[in-house]
Amino acid sequence: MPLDILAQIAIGGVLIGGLYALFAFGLSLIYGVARILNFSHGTLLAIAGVLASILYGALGASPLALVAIITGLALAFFLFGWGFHDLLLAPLKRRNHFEASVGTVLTTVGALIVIGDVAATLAGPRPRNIPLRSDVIEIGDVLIPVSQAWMLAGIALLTVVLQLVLTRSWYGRAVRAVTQDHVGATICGVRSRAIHGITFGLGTALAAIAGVLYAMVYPVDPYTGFSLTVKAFTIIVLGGIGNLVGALAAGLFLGVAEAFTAFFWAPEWAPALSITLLLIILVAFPNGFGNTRKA
Amino acid sequence: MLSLDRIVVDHGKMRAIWDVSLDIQVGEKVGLLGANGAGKTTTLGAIQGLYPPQSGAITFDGQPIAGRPPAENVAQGIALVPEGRRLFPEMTVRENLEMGAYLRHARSDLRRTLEHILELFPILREKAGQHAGELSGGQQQMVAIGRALMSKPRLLLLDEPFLGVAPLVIYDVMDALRRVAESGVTILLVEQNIHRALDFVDRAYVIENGRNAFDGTRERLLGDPEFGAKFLGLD
Repeated sequence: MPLDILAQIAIGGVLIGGLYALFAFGLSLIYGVARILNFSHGTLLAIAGVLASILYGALGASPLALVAIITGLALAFFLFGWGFHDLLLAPLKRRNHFEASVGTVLTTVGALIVIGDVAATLAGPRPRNIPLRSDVIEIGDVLIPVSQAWMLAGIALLTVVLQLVLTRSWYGRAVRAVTQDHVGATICGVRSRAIHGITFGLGTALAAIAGVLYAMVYPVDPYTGFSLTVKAFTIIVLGGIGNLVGALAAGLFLGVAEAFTAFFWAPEWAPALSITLLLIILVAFPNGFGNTRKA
Repeated sequence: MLSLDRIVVDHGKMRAIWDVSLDIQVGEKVGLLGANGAGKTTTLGAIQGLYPPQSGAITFDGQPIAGRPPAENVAQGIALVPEGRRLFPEMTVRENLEMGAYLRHARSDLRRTLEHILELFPILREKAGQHAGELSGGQQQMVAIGRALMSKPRLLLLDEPFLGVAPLVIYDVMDALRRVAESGVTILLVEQNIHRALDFVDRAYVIENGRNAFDGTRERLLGDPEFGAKFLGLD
């Protein structure tokens, strides 16, 4: 096996893994703060990808258009996520524990079905992507498509921004505080309703940005989403809730593992890998790898 | 400064507090004593706004505050050192303390308040960069007290601040709390160890099964044979 081919596969795996990580971290933020498992997270990514593909064609296929699309969709999905939480999910919290947990699952699974169907009806069920110019960068014998290089730049930039927000801003500290001990955060004066809504919005915006980056490299259709949600669950179980570094490590691991599975075996088996990994982790490491410290 | 008038608090379908009243003046150190499950923690939670009472009135600075959100009470000068400390284990000691100044009124003075707390608990200066989850019980308790003080409270609610603290360190913590009280902060202390509590407070309320049972100064309580029989094991 020539080394350059292995390197090529590994780079592809790292790219998709970084994207998974970013996307999974949105889910992780939402779960950590609001304790809601958002089953529609992957569908939102897919819809953002479809919308970005349509807008890219409509806005004249320039790099500037792409920046405008990312900004616009991130903002729109932020508001959508916030509204979705405050209108449909927050009222459930006033019910008893059982009704609240089943209710949130029903609401987010319902949203996944409705959003997917509405998008398929309006935009058509066929896969779409963002057709960037297919130039390649050559590093020795390894070829990297420019689209993938942009994707990598986008992931790296967002990771740095997220890390700064989480450690330097009052909002970010409140998010970490609520995730680690919500009673402790409440008595510091963190208002849970507001922080839940904003964080749901932020997580949704992350899914939207990941969707645009995803559509730059892979085709998406309105029904792509659920397998991505499963991958995101795997990553947050592996990397720990609210842990950005853990999500990155787990995402990269999953991405590279999938890339090699697809190459050495068959691409159809790559999605099954995440579920198998998830089951193995749950059975073999019931306490997870993250969150080793307890107060 | 603070008064509770016949409050009733339920946890779901369970009634935790049936009828509790108390009055605290500015600058006092008051104890809230009683056995396990008597309703001490719930009373503090009701004052802070964590458990809105079903009925009864809570008044702070002449304003009715029953059922007001916790953030509002923190902003008005009430801070809680909760049962079990409730720190953020994977945030540093400094970050934990700074979270106490989360609300706008405390942020502007953050540097000065933090310096004041590091003088009160010098050991925390050495540990400032460590995760709170790595500290000993006593040090964690110091962080919990420090975090509450970061919001610049006028009324400090302490829920068993000596639990899980090494015996020698208890004196340090108590000493620090005395200095906090001397600086003008009013204190309501929940404690199971009656002797230790009466050593610290000016007077105390004793509750039993969610109802007022005894109250009075240290001398009066210690001189009351019924109180002695019930809580000090005296015949």
